Amino acid sequence: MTAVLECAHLVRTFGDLRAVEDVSLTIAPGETYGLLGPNGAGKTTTISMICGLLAPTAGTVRVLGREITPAASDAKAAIGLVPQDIALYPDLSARENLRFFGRLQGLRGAALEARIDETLDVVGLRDRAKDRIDTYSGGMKRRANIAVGMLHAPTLLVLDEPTVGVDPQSRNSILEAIANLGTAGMAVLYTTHYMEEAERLCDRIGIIDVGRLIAEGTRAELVAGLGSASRVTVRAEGTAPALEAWRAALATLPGVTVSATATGADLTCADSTATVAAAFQRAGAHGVAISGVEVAAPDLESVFLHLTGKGLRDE
Amino acid sequence: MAAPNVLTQALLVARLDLRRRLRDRSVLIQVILAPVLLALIIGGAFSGDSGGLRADIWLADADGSELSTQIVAALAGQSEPGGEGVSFVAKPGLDAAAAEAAVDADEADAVVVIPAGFGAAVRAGEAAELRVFGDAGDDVVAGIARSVADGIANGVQTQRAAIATTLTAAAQLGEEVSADDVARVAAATPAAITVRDSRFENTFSMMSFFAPGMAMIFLFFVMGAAARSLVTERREGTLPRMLAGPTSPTAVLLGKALAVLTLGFTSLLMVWGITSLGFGVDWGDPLGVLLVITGAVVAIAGISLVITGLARTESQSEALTIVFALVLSVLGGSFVYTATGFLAEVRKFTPNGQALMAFSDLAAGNASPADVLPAVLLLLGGGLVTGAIGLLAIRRGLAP
Repeated sequence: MTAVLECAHLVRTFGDLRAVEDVSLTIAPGETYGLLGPNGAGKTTTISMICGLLAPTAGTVRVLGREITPAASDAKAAIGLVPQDIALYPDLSARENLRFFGRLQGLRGAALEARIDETLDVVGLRDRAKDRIDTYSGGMKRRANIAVGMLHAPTLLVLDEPTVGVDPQSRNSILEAIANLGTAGMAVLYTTHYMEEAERLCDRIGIIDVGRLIAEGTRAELVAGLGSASRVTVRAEGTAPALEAWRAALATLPGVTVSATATGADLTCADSTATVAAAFQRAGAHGVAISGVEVAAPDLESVFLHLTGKGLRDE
Repeated sequence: MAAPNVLTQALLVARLDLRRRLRDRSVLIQVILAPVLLALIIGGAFSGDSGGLRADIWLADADGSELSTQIVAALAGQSEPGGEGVSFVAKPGLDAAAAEAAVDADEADAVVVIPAGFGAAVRAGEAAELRVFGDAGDDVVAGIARSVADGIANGVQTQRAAIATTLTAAAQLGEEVSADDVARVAAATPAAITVRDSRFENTFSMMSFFAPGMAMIFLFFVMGAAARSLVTERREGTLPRMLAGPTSPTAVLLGKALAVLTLGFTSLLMVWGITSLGFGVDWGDPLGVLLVITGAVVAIAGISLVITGLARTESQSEALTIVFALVLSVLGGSFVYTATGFLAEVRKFTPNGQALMAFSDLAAGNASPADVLPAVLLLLGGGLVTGAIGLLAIRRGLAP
């Protein structure tokens, strides 16, 4: 089966900064692929190249076998982009926004109006379709933003952190709408730094950090890569220097990866019992009081912590 | 589902842009209300008792013939020297050199010189010449002086025709009439000289200068804002969203340029229509006015696009637009209908100055559409060159 998206050895530099370094990935028809990484990891730069908004310094992007370049207008018609920020005309209604972008995609007349109604139904905005975007709540704007990206039923829908700054209820409704896209046969590239979103939505996940794709696979494959590792979350209290010294002491333990959190530290380790004991012992030595410990099965956060030595939301 | 071609995409972009602008009430104020109101206020102020046009046009009679004396007397009798409006002052014996010196010294606003030998030449049926000296910076007064000279010339032609007709008729009747007798009678009848000063006939007469002047100032703002929308759309993400699809950057640029031009045309056409139909302002020959409007809109659109191309942010673009609008308006003479010295020279190098001079000539009835064509071509050429530079700079900014 022909891949919908094929990125081969993508590189993008800005002066001396190498924002994306040798990223290769493929997405099959109907597959939802999550690009998971912290802020500044290179996710937006990667999708800007995929959508033809940025020319790669090196490497190629192909959608349905056709190379994507900024000038490849026809090939780009197969892509629907949902940018991270709301990219709508605030003084127009949702329907007017959809009509304009739909016409630019080549939709016309009754077919366009029918597709607008369909899309508004998917994102749950049919009853507010005539209202101006600037009267919408944040969550409604996000949903309208998604509606424009999927209006022309693209083969590949690219969503760049579509739930940033959205309340939990709206987030849930957005995630439901996106989950339905995959079942409709649309390939989806979904970037996020929310582990739970990637776990819930994506068939396969690529973990990106400092411009590099450092791991790729299904959730199960990625977690299995950790072996028998566990994730230990320790809540601790103490002065900042004391906490810092305590974390540094924990990092010297063999096979233990430490990530600072606001309330203490996240640890990945093979032997959770020994690690918890060592955490208590070193806490006493550094004047830190432990107020809680939680041991959990490894998840994508553990994978990221294990691979990079830092949490997904550290930055 | 095929993506639309570049032209269709451009039209979609232009249509959306215009629709959004026309929904914005502040744009309607800038496009129509503000220029008309300002022209009314400033035009009214200049047309009042104390601020109205005052000009002394000297009639230098270096000829001293019966004909020239009659002409000067007829004109000078129409006005009171030093009074309101245009006054004709008889200056017997003043020659061309002295007339030019009087204009240079600002003693006279303009001088019509009837040179020595004028009367004799007319009577002999030979070519006769009138000379006009005026301030290069005051198109209006110089225009009136030229109209006076035209009137004298027309009157002389009429007299010549009358003499010829009389002599022919007398010969056919077998009567003897000398040409001198006929000429004396004809000269005793004041020549039918019409001074075309339609600009100063009513309260709003100065609006034929200030209406286009004010409209062009606001044109900078209106068209600047339209061009700036490109920067706004880049910031708001709608531009990248368009470019992520099958829309080409060329289509976006064409669409935006089309919207800028349409808005400019609409603005000037509306001000023309409202001041003409609502306030009886005569802008002059409609074809000429349309040509100058075209040139002015293209020229200012070009500048707006250059500003957009140079600016990296909306605030930079806005600040540059204000600077360009005000500086060019002052240099181009949008606020004052007369300009002398440095300003008179420099206004020729500004698009609004060129357009205003052409508008003034048309309004004063001193120019036909053909006469304003060079100015229009200059405006179009300048606009196309600056527009191309602006679009290239913007295009470079859009390049991924």
